[in-house]
Amino acid sequence: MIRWLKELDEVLRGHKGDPQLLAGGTGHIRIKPLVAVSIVLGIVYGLCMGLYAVLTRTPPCFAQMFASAVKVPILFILTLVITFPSLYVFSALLGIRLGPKDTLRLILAPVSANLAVLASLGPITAFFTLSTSSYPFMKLLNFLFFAVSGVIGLKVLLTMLSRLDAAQAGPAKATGNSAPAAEPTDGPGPTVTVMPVALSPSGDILGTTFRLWLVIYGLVGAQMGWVLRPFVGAPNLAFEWFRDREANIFIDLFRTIVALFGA
Amino acid sequence: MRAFFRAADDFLRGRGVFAVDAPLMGRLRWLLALMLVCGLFYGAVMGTFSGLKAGRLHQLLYSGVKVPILLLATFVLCLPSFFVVNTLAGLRDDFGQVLRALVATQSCVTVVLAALAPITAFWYISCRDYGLVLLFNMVMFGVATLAAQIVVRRYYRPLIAREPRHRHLLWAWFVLYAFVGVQMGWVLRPFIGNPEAPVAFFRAEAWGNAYVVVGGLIFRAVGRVPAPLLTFLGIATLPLLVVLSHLLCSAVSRNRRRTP
Repeated sequence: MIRWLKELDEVLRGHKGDPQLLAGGTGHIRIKPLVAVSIVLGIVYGLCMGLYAVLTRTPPCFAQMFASAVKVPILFILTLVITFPSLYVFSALLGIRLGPKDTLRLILAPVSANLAVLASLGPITAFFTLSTSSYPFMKLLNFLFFAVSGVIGLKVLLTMLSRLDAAQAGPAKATGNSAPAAEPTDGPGPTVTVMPVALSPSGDILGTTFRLWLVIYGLVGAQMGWVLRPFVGAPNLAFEWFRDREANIFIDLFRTIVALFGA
Repeated sequence: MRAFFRAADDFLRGRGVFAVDAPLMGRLRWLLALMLVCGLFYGAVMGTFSGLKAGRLHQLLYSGVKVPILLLATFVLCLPSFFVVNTLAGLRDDFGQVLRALVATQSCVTVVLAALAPITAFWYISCRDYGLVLLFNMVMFGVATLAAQIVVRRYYRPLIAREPRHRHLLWAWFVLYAFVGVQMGWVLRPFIGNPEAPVAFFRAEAWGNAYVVVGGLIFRAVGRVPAPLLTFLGIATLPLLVVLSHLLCSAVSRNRRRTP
């Protein structure tokens, strides 16, 4: 467990995106500890989400809490499985010379960062659950937290990619290898940071293609959350593992906003 | 007692153990002591509105305990996510200093509140309207929060000078803190205690959501907008928002490239 957390800590600090390390590929990102720690973090947030069903129902519905704790990690894993092939193809097109395993390593880091942010927002979700009985509000709050942590995770990914691009373009030029490297991005600074996303000029393939892929990832993730619902559990509906397929998350979002104040 | 006042004075002036570069452990004791004592004091003064008869005195204690709880609980809830975001921004090494600044902010709010307590008491004497009293206390908390910005700036100045991104993170902290703090204040009601109502630590109907209540008030004030219209407006504005945010992001990144 300590070893897993150490691995996660290195991802969060941005050490995994160190240009010198990335120049040698992504072998320094270990898959097993990151997957394990991501699952644990997902379970933590799932428990905070499922708390609502325990507190608002008589008798308390622990099944929903258990279901949410299982579903949050599954949500991320399935989204990754569905969007991974397209990411791999895109990155191959971009001339980022990575095998499938390397690409998986590269994307695990942002996903674990995403889950770390989500799990750290768990206490706030739990606090609002303790004091709020409004179901629309809890739904919107969870939606907001997922969106915020998702955006932060994507920023981590973009940063790592631009670094990788720069790191791989460097040695390729040095050896006189005429590899189809993308436009050289701004050279990585001395400190490894995550927030400022140094994307190459917007006309560049890298930026455009990755923005496109991020849209796919976001949409699949959102819809996956909808397919796997209930996470919070509407108080007037009985517990079930999966609800019937109807509408989609965006339609439901409008309904929820209307219901929050209108009903 | 004298040591306490000296510590408070040092704290306000930012010298001695409270100097910007002094170690945290030397002052953490004092910061917590200041927060508890001053918070208790202001809370007790807050609670005097409900009356000073023999049966109502424990409202003072309740209100007094609640002010530090409000600040500390909100602080503890917001800390984990702030820690993770700081780490992601590559600013983990500064987190000790950041923590120092944030704890100092909490203490500063209570010290200023304690100094405002006489004014609150005077207001209570001159005004018996419960609604106005509530509003007045909100204004006092607002003033204290604004005054605490001086302390925040003092501790954050070296950080921002070294790394401008601390400024954005500080904004993020205040947004998150306010978001949780408003609900925390709502849950911990009553702070003042309605003289008509019996004394209670928690109000019977206290559970609920500040945002839902306020939103409902606004919604009713606007009048019943038909649901189809709302849905249409939502659907119409969402793409607009996406486009606008995209334009904003690209403008920001263009500026960033222009000024390397």
